[in-house]
This record gives sequence, structure tokens and C-alpha cells, in this order.
Amino acid sequence: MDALEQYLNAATRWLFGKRKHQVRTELKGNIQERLLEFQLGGYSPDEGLAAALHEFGSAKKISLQLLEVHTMPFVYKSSVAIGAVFGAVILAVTSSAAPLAVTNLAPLPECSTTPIESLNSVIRCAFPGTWVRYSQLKQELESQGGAALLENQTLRLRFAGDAKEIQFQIKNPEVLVLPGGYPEVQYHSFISFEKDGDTFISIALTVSQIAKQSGLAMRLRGWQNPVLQVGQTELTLGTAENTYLGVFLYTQGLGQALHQILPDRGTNTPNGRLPSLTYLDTQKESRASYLYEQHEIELDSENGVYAVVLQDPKDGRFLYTIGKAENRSLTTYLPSQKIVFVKSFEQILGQATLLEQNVIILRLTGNLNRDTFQIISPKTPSSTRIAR
Amino acid sequence: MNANQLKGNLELILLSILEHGEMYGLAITKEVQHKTNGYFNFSIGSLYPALHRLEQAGFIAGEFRPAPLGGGLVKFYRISLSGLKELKVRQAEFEAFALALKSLWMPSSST
Repeated sequence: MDALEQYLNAATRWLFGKRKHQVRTELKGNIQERLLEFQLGGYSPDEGLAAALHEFGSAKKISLQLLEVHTMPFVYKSSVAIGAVFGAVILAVTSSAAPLAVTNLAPLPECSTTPIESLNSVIRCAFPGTWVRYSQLKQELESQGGAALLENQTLRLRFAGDAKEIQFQIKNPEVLVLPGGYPEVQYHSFISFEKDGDTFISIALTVSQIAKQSGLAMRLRGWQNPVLQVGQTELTLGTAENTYLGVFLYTQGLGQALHQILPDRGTNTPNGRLPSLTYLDTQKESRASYLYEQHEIELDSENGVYAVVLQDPKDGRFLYTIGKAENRSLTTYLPSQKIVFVKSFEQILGQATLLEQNVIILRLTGNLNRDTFQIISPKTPSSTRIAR
Repeated sequence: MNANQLKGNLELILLSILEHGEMYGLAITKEVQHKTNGYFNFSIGSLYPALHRLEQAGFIAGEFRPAPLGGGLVKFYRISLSGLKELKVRQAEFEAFALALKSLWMPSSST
């Protein structure tokens, strides 16, 4: 059992039934989101998880607070309804180490994404458009002089012009079924699934493995349903029905590239580093977390995919966001105070005191494993306005 | 900040943040830290019991949706009408309390 599962088990120890599933899902989603932020900042999965769990705090403390909110009122109500004596027994049980016996199966938690499988009380959900279909991948590679073979849950890929074979496991983690017959709901942690006699594999996993193992240059073109070029092979990611946005892959490439040139910050986390990079999402739901406002930046360069990087004066972290420029205008979310454009990272790093938001504009080349970006500068510092 | 002070006002802090728009737990923590320049620096996990208490009271409503970065499902909370009313009541109570406390530190005008 990994550290995340142990943490979730400890935090939800005193919850039962449907409530347990919901709280577990919520905690897990938030922890995984923070983990992804750490990973985008250059942390390894283990380092990121350790840092995320450190930030979430003591699981035991959370479990006792959740007990007070959820379980104790229920126990109190039960004790009133079925008599003080039996209630006292329940109270005694909840304060001991043994969990309450659960006899009825609560309704399954909602699956807000596309359910792909419901087997042995386990629901598997998949976000449409984030998977590559094996039969299609094989066909595409073969038609372009490459090969694909899926055997014993190991995927082997070969690209034209590269003698080296790429191989990785697509085996999913074990499904944990909780005592009492309650199913464990798995969401994004699945890296593959079977449907309609075919195998679907996570795009993020596939691309990261190709980048790690292949010596070929990798390039991404486009924003919606982008084309991934590996050497001379071209693969279109996403379909008309299930759109795939390239933002995650651009972010992955840029995060790795920036991490190599930016310094580590501070010593406050268990592994001795603060995140030097945090991805600022441009979605409505998350942008408010940084109190940013919508800015339109007029660019003195061609359309394409751009990144805006800035340093938070409060803690020195580098924050970045990625957007697609149209008509030489880039819409993004930035601090509402005055913004100063600079031309190099040295200009930011050399400052003793950070009083204003210094922003660097990068043009993303689409290259994922070399020359990921070019530093550009807007025509004039006044070429941005806050869109109301 | 004193931990008891924070604990006593956590629900007021959460309602104040959610007044400006719906948000999920991790984003709420960042928002609080950002708005207060890190003054309220609490562990993220301590937020959820307080959020659930507010949800049970009907002051906020939560809905599961995919997380922005794709980490899984997170619960987005939004403030309800009764939550807004509760926020106004608690804000007034807090201001009255702070004012009364402050008056104890001021030099008395009658002496």
C-alpha cells in the first residue's frame, strides 16, 4: 500500500459507508492535484507526494475532526432512536480501534465522468479524450514504418528512424476493496482500461515514456487535438468526439525545461526544497485562487502557444501559465497590480527586493525534449490591459 | 497566528472566501494565504472538516467535478443564500467583538 493510500485510510478511519467514499474521493483529488503541481515544478512523484502530504497535515488529526463532524452526530442520533444502552455500545465501539460493521451497501458515489467499467462493485471512470486507443496507435505507427505490440500488459513501441524500442508497463494499481463490501472508486489513477475489445492507454503516460526513452526529437503542433511528432512519425491526439487539449503536454515540457534553469527555493519541505514552479491554471474555477485578473497582452510576434512566467514576491516561487495567442493577442490571468515585462530570468533573479510583478513572456516552440521555449518581450510594457 | 484564534474563526474565513465564488479545498487554502499574505497558514487537511460542517448546516453546497489539472475529482463549494446571511451575521458579531475588545485598550475618555 502506498503512502497516499495509507494517508487516506488514516484520515477517513472513523467514517463509514457513502460518507467515507465521498470524503476519501475529495481528499484524494485535492492531494493528487497538489502532487501534480509539485511534479510540474520538477519534483519526482515520490518527492511531490511527500511534500503534498506534509502540507495536508496530520491524518490522525483530520480523522478526529471528521469523526466529530460526521460520525458522532450519527451515533448520537442512533443512540436516541434505539435506546441509550445500545447507543453506549456503539460509542464504545467507535472509540476502540475496530471499525463498525457495515451491513448495507450504500448507493455508489456518482461518477461524473464516463464510466467505463463496473465490475465486482468497482467503478472505473475515464475522462474522455485523454486516452490513446491501442489498435489505432498500432495502425498509425505501422503505416508510418514503425510498430506497436501489447503483450502481458507491456506496451512496446518502435518509431521509424529509431532502432531503439520503447517499452513500459500499462498495468493498473491493485483495486482496494474495503471491508463490508464497499467498493473503492478509482478515477484518474488508472493508466489503462479495456473496452470494446480494445485497450486504452493514458496519453500523458505514453508521451512521457516516449520522451524519456526515445532519442528522437519530439514536437507538438496545435492546441486542440494537437499533432505529436516523434522523429518523422506524426500522431494526432484526440478525436472530434473526444477533444484533447495540448495544454498539459506543453506544460509538462515547459515545466521540465524551466526546472533546469531556475534555482531551488528555501528549505521548508520534507525533502528540503520549496516548489520553484507552480502552474497557474487558466480555468475559471482555479484562477481565483491567485486573485488574478484577465489580461490581454498584445504580442509583437506571430500567433502560437505562449507562456507567461512571473515570480511571486511573497515567497519567491515562479508561477507560470500557458495560453494560445490569436490575432497577436494572448489572454491570460495575471496579478491585478502593475506588471513589468523583463527580457531575462537574470533580471528577475538579480533583484534583491521584489516589489512588482515581473513577467517574462516565452514562446513555446512545441519541442518537448529540446529548445522548448524562446524568451520574447512584448513591444512595450504598456501593451497589456486588464480585460473587464 | 494563535491556533485557537484561527480555529475559532475558520468558518468565518471560509464563508468570506466563498462569498467571492465557488472553489475547491486546495484552491481555498491558496486563496486564504494569498489574501492574508500568509498570515493564516494552516494545514490544508484541517479545512475539510470545517467545510463539511458548513455544508451540513446548509451554508455551502458542494459538487464533485474533475480537478483543473486532472488529478481526480475534487469538490467545488459555493455559498448558499443562507450562508450569505450567516456570513453577514458573523461579520457583524466579529466586528462588534473586535470593537469592544479595542475599547478596553483605548485610554478612557472619562478620566
